Amino acid sequence: MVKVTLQNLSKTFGGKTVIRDLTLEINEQEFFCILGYPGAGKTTLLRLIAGLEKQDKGDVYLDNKLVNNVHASHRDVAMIFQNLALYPNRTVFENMAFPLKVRKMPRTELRNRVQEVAKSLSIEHLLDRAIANLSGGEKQRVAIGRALVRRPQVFLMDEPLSNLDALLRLEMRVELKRLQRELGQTFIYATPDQLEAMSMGDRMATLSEGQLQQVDVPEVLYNKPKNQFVAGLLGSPAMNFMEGSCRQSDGRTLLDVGSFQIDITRFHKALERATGPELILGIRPEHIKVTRQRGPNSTCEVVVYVVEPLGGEMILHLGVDGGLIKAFAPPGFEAKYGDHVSVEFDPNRIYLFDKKTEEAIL
Amino acid sequence: MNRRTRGILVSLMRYVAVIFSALVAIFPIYWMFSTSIKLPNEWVATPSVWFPSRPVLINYQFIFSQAYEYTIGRRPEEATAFYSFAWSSMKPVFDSLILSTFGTLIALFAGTLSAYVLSRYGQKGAPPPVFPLMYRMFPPVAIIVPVVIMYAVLKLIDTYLGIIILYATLTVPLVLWLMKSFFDEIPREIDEAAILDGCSLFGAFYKGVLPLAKAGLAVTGLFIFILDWSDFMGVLLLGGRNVVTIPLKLAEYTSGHGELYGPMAAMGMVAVIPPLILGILIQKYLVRGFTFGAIKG
Repeated sequence: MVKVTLQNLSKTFGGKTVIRDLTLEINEQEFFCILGYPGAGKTTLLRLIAGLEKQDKGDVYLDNKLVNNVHASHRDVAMIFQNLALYPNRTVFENMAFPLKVRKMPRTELRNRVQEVAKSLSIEHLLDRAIANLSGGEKQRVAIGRALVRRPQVFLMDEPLSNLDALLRLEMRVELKRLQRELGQTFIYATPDQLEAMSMGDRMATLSEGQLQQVDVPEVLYNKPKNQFVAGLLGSPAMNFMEGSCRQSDGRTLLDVGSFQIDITRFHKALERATGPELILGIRPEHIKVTRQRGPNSTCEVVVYVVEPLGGEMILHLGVDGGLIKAFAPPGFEAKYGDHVSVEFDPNRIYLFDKKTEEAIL
Repeated sequence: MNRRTRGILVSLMRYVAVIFSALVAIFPIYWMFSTSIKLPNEWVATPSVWFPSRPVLINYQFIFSQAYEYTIGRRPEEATAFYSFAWSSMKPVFDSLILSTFGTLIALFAGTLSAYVLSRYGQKGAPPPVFPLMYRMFPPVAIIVPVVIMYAVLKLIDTYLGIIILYATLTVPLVLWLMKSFFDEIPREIDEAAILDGCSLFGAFYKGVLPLAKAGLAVTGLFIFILDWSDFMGVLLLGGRNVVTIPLKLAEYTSGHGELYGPMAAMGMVAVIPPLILGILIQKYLVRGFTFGAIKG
């Protein structure tokens, strides 16, 4: 139940900078997700908090106490590793009891504590089993249990669900969230899966090449991405991007994308922030309306390339200017390869990014 | 030929092959055993005596008595009366046991610790260091001369301590290489999980990783024990009077009194026992150990 503060943290491995001048504050009792592609530095960040790596520069505070020189075994931080790192030679009970045994807890108290945690994770019946005989989900619970029995100050989780099958992952996602609420503990959760981060995190951070891109609640990251990277990271399918350049005509400002133009006069103020006339237009698939006939508000005509039916909805891959954009088709919409359809971009949901800096200008 | 008869034939041939190779493997041991219970005139008789005409124990009685002259020509009854058991005759067995046990334990202790450090704190992906194996690249005779000189100065010649040190130093590099490959296969996260669970660095090794390397430790221990147990050169040059091991005693049976094949075989049978017991004790680890890590193949 503590606050985690990172200040100007830097870490290099053999000349390669993995964490670059990172400052971050994680509140108590918060479910905080760190989202980033593999290699973005998520694991290193967690290991720095845990004390398994030593930072080159910067400070780590747990509960407002500087812990730079506190050894990992004394930081009172629990970590669930991607490969779980259960002790394969011990039973479930022994695995869960291990951290307490190291702390020399009396036997009866230890037994009660393990029983209690096992019950809350509904793995009581597995306590005498060997680790090798457990399923993936059961192992996952044991790993969480081993972290829980200690009642640590902070939980760190490094892609803990990545080895589970899709269905189980959904289930565990809900369960972890419930667990965190019940415990009221600080959870820091690293994942490359934006759905996991968005659905679980109270707040989340996006990390790219060791640098924080944006830290906020998931809705803000989704609706107001700070730059093109964050915009492209969140959402499934990802946001569509098209390059274009600004042009003045009859006192109006138009963004010329090639086969069509969009009136962006009303963003006049924001456009002053752009470093040049070259912009990138962003629009999410769910904000594109696909119609068979061209209407008065249609943005342009496109050709259907790929149809991906997902049951309840359908994703269309549409050819525009030599590139492809993705859009959700309305229910009951029928389309096949080669069809000509019209699309309408929701004018209130378009994003503009500076091509040079990739920063959002809206 | 139908399918069934062919199947029977194939499995028959398979059995024949297996039995044949088993015989080839067992035959030397059988020969040693049968020689150990043969009378002197049957040891090297032509044509060979495949089965002792009259099994006797005098060879065993000889090696465990104080007798120095083998009573060739005496009738077995007389011989039995001639030899009486003497504790001093057990000295080679005890010496071998003491030297091999302590040599192995020290090598395991030092080698395992350094292997762990090299596996965990060495440069990632770096090949294991070659220099500890340098000893092994010379013929033993080449390094034994400087060792003899050093030992002479240190007054370690013909002492238990001296030979235990020799065994330990010669085998530490092997322990290091073998154990490093076992440790390398245990994920680092096990150590890290143990550290986060509250263990010290040594605790992570001792409570987290070492139990997982038990099989490797057992196999390495057996391997080193057998190496020490069968050493001849070291004890020949550095021991002799005060320290006499089984291989050295065996050599005695070739000199002076002629070739005493019977007592040699009897001593050989005795020498088989400790490694055999050790092998049986760690049997459950053997298969796992041999199919894992460096001893594989």
